[in-house]
Amino acid sequence: MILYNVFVPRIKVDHQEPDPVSVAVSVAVADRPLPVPPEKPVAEPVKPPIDRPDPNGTNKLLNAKSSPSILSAFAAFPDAVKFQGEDADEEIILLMRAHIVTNVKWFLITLALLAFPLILAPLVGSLNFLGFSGAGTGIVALIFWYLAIFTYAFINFLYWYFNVYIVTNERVVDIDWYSILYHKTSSTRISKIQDVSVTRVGVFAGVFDYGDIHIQTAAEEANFEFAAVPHPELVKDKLEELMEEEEKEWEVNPDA
Amino acid sequence: MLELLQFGLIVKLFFVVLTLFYVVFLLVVYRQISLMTQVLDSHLSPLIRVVALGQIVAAVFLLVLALILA
Repeated sequence: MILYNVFVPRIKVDHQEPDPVSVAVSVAVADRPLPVPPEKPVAEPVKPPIDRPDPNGTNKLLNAKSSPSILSAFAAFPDAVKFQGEDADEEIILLMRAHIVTNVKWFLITLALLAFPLILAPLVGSLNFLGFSGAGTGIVALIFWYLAIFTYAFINFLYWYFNVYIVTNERVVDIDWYSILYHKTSSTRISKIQDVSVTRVGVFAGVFDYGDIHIQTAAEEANFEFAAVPHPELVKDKLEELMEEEEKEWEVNPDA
Repeated sequence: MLELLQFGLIVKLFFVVLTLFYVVFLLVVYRQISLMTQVLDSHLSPLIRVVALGQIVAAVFLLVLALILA
């Protein structure tokens, strides 16, 4: 205590009355609510990339060839697509349609049909020659024609869009829309597949890299055919890889 | 004159019946599209349904037009 008194200097503080203006200001500032900083937009949680084992590098190749668009004919691991009967733990590995080049035929027909009224116009005009005023009829016919062409193109697009081949980690699914009145969905488990083969026919198939994939299944199940799909060799490799994985799983746990 | 009137009537009837069949056909297409969008669901499904519905509306409009104009 003595030491403390010796070494610590004493400071004299004069008592001062508080200034009334500064008191008023400090009270006003204290009463004012603090400015709230604008809320930062909450970013959507980013999905962590799924860690898929890829010992042969086929997933990497599939991703490289894949297009993220929903209108793509070859999409690897599409996350915005669901199909009827999909299990909760099932993951779509590949979604395929016929190669985009296969649509050229109906597209060209549509273009030709669009130009047809230009050829037909003089013939329609000849109706006046018979004394029949076909102005109203002509308008209705023209609108009908273009609507019908639109329907033709739309339905052809839908045939392409809804004819889908799906490979999941569990099975292979074939969704077919044959006609306006008939559609069919069939699937088989990967473990039931016995053989996968690829056929390429024609120059276009070679140039644009598409072909048919034939999937031979166990005797009691129907065989599958993926018609004119892009990168058929790659799909075959992936299917064979999945078959091997299933075989290994079966060896470890035959009851699964 | 009577022949012309009859010819006009036949043409009108032809377009009315044709458009009527067209409307029915589009309704069937819409039904199938609804089923198929359930089978394969994606971001594009609502747009496809809207386009199919738009076609039906246009065809009904054409039917009315055929009754009035043709």
